[in-house]
Amino acid sequence: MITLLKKDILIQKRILLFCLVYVLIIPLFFRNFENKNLIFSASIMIVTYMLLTNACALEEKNKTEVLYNSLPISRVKIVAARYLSLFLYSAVASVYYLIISNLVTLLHLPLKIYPATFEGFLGGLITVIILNSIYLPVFFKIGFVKSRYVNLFLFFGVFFGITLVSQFAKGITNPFFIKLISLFKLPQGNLLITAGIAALILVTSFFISCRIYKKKEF
Amino acid sequence: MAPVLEIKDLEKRYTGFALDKISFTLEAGYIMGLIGPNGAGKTTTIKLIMNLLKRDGGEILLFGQDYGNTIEERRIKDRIGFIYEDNFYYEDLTLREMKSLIAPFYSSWDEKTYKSFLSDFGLPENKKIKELSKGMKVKFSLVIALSHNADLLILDEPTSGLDPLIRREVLDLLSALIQDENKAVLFSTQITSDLEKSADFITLLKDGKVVFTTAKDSLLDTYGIVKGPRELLAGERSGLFLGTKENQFGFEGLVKDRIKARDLLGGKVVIEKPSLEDLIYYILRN
Repeated sequence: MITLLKKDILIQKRILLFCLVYVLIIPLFFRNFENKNLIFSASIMIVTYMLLTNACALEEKNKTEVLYNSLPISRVKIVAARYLSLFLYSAVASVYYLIISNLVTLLHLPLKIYPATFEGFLGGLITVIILNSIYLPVFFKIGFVKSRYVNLFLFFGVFFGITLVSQFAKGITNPFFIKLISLFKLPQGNLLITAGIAALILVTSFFISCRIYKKKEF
Repeated sequence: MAPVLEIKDLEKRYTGFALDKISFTLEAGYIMGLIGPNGAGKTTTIKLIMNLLKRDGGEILLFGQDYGNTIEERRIKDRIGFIYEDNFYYEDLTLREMKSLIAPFYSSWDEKTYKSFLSDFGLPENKKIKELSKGMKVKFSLVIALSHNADLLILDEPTSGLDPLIRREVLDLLSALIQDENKAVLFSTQITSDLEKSADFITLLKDGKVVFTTAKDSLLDTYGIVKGPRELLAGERSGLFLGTKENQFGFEGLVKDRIKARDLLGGKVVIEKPSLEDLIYYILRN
């Protein structure tokens, strides 16, 4: 399993550097956002999306599924490694964000970047989990080339969805709508419940993917 | 001891093609050549053996065991070295990096053997896979396949597209490997001369069916190429031939039993030992 995760890092040495640059420029796009956690969450989402997409693309390009399914390794472990890679990529994004945010503060750079928070991390991770719990079974079923638009749609759907809702929320003065929006603002307790639900979704998705992948032919 | 590989009535059905109840057995200490035209079912058979495809019927026993569950599959694959026609490595990685992503999966990975083969083949560990020639890629696959004490080597057209020198090196290595009588090689190819040099047994596939599976020497010792005047092909004698080719001077044909052919046709014909290529040509033509 560790070797499979090591593979995901080794094959993406170059793009890992690119991701560092992305984390640096993401705050520029979200500078008008009032939610301080959102930039950190967005960084996790974007870096994970990029690394997962690239790993799947490289796998399809080099047809390495044939290689790995010929080695003495179970298909369940191959699936599990793909799911675990989401946490690995989220960790990479978090480390990058910590480095960048600390550097910006230390060097007094003219960049509006908020410090990393637990809420921001959890928010990002939950989004990554929910998105990919929908995407990965589709990926295991039809492969990267056919499924990439599903991933793109999910990613941008969530991304622009959040942006639009935030913009929309800013202009609202009607007390009924303000009350309605406040229901969706998650205090820390609710965030942990959401994390629990996300974990349940992730486990369900993992078992569906295992079932699909065990039957897959190469 | 159970055969290294035993295939019984194996079936795989696709639209327009079916592997139709094929059976053959490979014992330890031997090289078996799997031969046949394009689309005969060689790669499908190999993919079924490697559990990359799911069979529709029949049985595949490796070292006496079926791919029952995950643990058995891992144990079986731990004893198999494989080379496929296409390269399935990450092109941007170096040989050292690629090896580091494969070796940990094998329980008997032998780093010393790996280094020794790399040096014998002149493969630089720091070179990227994409910088290797086709021949070097095959050699690297062979090094990986030979570095974990595999008892069965499965090779799917490994010599196609290689120059004669590298092909010879690969075949010599397989012959040397088989000196260990616990090991066996299943080798699919379209190059009959490769099989003539290295195989002990030949399994010929055509349209998803086994035409024959037998010892190479017994094939070459019993079959015969008959050359003679065309009038000999008339009447009952034509039934003697598995396949014939006629020209203005006479005919050439393949017989299954050259001693019987000599008795029947006597001094009117020339009877020669066939090459594997002749044999397969006439059988497939028929």
